[in-house]
Amino acid sequence: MTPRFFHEPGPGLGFVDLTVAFDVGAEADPPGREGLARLAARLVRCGTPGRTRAQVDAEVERLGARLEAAAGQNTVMLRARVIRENLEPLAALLVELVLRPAMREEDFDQARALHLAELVQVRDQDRDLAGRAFRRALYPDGPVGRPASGTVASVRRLALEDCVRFHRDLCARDTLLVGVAGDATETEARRALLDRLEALPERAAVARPAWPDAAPPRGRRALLVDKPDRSQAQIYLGHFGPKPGRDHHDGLYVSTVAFGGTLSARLMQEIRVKRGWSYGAYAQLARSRRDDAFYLWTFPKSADLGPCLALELDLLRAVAQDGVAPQELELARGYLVGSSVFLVDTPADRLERRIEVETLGFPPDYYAAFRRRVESVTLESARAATAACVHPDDLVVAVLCTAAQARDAVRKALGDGAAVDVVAFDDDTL
Amino acid sequence: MKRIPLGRHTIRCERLDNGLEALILADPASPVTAFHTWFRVGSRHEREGKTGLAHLFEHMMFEETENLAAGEFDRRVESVGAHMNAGTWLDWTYYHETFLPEHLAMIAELEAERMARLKLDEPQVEREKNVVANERHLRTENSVEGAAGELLWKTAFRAHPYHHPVIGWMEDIRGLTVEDCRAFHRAYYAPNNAALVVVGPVEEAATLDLLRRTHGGMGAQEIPADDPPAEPEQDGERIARLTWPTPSPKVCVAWRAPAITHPDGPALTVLSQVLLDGRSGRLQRRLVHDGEVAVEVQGDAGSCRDPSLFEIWVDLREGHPQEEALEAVYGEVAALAGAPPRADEIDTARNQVLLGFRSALETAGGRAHQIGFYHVTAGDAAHVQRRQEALLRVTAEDVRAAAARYLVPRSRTVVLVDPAEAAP
Repeated sequence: MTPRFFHEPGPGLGFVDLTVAFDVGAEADPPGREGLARLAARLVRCGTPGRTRAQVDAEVERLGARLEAAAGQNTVMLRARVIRENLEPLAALLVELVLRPAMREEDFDQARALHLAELVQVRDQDRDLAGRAFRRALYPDGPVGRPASGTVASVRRLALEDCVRFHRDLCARDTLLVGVAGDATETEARRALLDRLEALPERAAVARPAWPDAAPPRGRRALLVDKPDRSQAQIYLGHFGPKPGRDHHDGLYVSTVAFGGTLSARLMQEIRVKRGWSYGAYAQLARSRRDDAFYLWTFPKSADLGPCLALELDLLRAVAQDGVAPQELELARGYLVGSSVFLVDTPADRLERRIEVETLGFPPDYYAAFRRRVESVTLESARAATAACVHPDDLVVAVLCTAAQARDAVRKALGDGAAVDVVAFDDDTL
Repeated sequence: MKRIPLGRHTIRCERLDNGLEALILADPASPVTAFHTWFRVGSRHEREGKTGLAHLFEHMMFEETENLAAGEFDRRVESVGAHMNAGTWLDWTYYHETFLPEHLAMIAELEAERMARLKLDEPQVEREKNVVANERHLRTENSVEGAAGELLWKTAFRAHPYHHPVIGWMEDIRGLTVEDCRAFHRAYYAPNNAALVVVGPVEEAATLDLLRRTHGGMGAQEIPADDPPAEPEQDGERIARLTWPTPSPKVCVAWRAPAITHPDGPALTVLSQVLLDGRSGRLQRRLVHDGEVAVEVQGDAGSCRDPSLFEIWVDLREGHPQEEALEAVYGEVAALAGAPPRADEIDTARNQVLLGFRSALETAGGRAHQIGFYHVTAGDAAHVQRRQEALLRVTAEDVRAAAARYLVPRSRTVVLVDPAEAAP
């Protein structure tokens, strides 16, 4: 089987973007070993049999390149950008790393130690903590709720052998995607990257774990992430929404933009413009391989937390009952149609979209037909989508705040019967 | 009319009769057009007690005008899918949109409308002050990086207005009035204090005609003198401490750096690369990847109109004292002041300069930003290209000399962030 290959030309840019991706990611991390895909990806860039990690780092940068190794829920990816003049040597180095990573014990120890330190550093980032808590509350038992970076406890459990096995299982032609964008012809791109990857073994695709669909939340549940001295809260609230290709996806996607995707949208108008409660107020329908989150994000000052949360719930109820207004839908469609140019503005953007379609399992024409699908959303289909998919009484709420000051306000906003739990901001399960 | 080369393109520069400058880069291959409006006003133009005014005013520019009802500006721009935003910094404020090329005339008209005919009323100012206060909670009151950065500049500058934060002190934000905003608008939002940048598949002459129609009728104004008090030479190290609910200590070390147009600027930028760039910079290796002392090291060589700061930030790992970071930073700085960087380090820096320069020009918006930033901050858009050329000419000895001249203890300011003790 020939690896999937994508080329997006950009003559004259003076640089080339290279992507080597495998369409299995952190969702394949064994329970209790979360963080494996990400650590393994990082270890891959830590040297080859002939070069140490420091030599690889120095060579990449001497060539005028940047190299990133990362893993998300659905992919492991090595991406580089290099000045055009050095495409060949950088591509050769990249392929050497993919095919023959050194996987040395000392590099593993260092990479894991840095990974652990980064997990601790996240505790400085209030928004990230609230986002992690939201995902954990939304999907306690599956990959959507498990951070791709893992936890301190799960990363401590990882051993070099786990990474070696992960790399061995992953590295096959049928999971591989190769992409080149920018200042290289297709011939140059194939020669530089694809031809060199011919050495990859051909074997059956790695089985993607069969995670069951998540059970949607029932009732209202809140998780407060308790951090001292907060003068501002970070609020995420929501539930699942349909993935691309499912019923109501397009209607809900456009309705979400109409409701909370622009400065003119209802959520921003009510929370920021009319009341000045939060610098930003956004709604989003996340898109991935499975049904992902439909959520709202705001960050009012602590004193406004209760009223802001209550208003968000009222606004959600209104949009579930009545849908978006005609003028809101018209603006959202215009916005999405006009801004769709930015999805494919640069060769790097175009490559990213093509790889997303492959790795996230979107319908093949998801981006190609984006404008047509947006234009085809009517007021009726938008309202049908919000009626079917927005559930103001069945959702999870994650709030980063100083819990002692915020708990009563959250309880009051959520109403009788809502479960409110508290977790410390430095709790490792986040 | 002047023409300035920029990569594969040229920028056409014109000054309208009212003093407004127009910089147009025609690129037939661009799928979108970028429209930037840069004003030569930032937080440096504020006085004590009125800090945050430039930034608050940036918010007010999205409000009602004589011909646009409240919210109408946003609605019109968003209805065609344009991406828009604005930014305020020490030396400048800018407003930008990127959009499908057929909407250029509408965007130019909207920008001219709010530049010339903004309505400033009490309720909107009061409401937006709340939003800005909330933004300050986000960026400073609840952010260790924001709080430490504010303390650093406050400590390093005592006379020059770089002393105060762009977003303003909270008590000042609360005290700003509608009359403050009106006076600010009259003083600084004049055509002869602004530059328009248009990048996209445009025709130069037609675009210039359009800008004359939309912006040419505004009258020039007398702009207040831009002569903030000079910062006296620093005469000794300054140290400030901050206690914060953070899991690990942090260190920021900064030295006085020259203005963006100073001939030593490129050498300091390369010095910053040798120390901090990527994963192979000396401090990256010593502190993060080999030494395993820090999670992250980053910095900035300073790019302000007046002398500013060369900064190094170290986010330590748990259990590592700040002294380890300081020893490494001072040690590597001293090493570079004593001996020039190796040839391979200079090669790396040059290739990274090329990558950075080409990447910055990837999109229409990126090019417009480079043009506007250097035109307003350095006084000439030609600095975009000149700076790249100057960076490529920097020698190892230039780097050593810059380290020896600028990174000296007496001009150093240090901020130490200590984790707060957990409550019992």
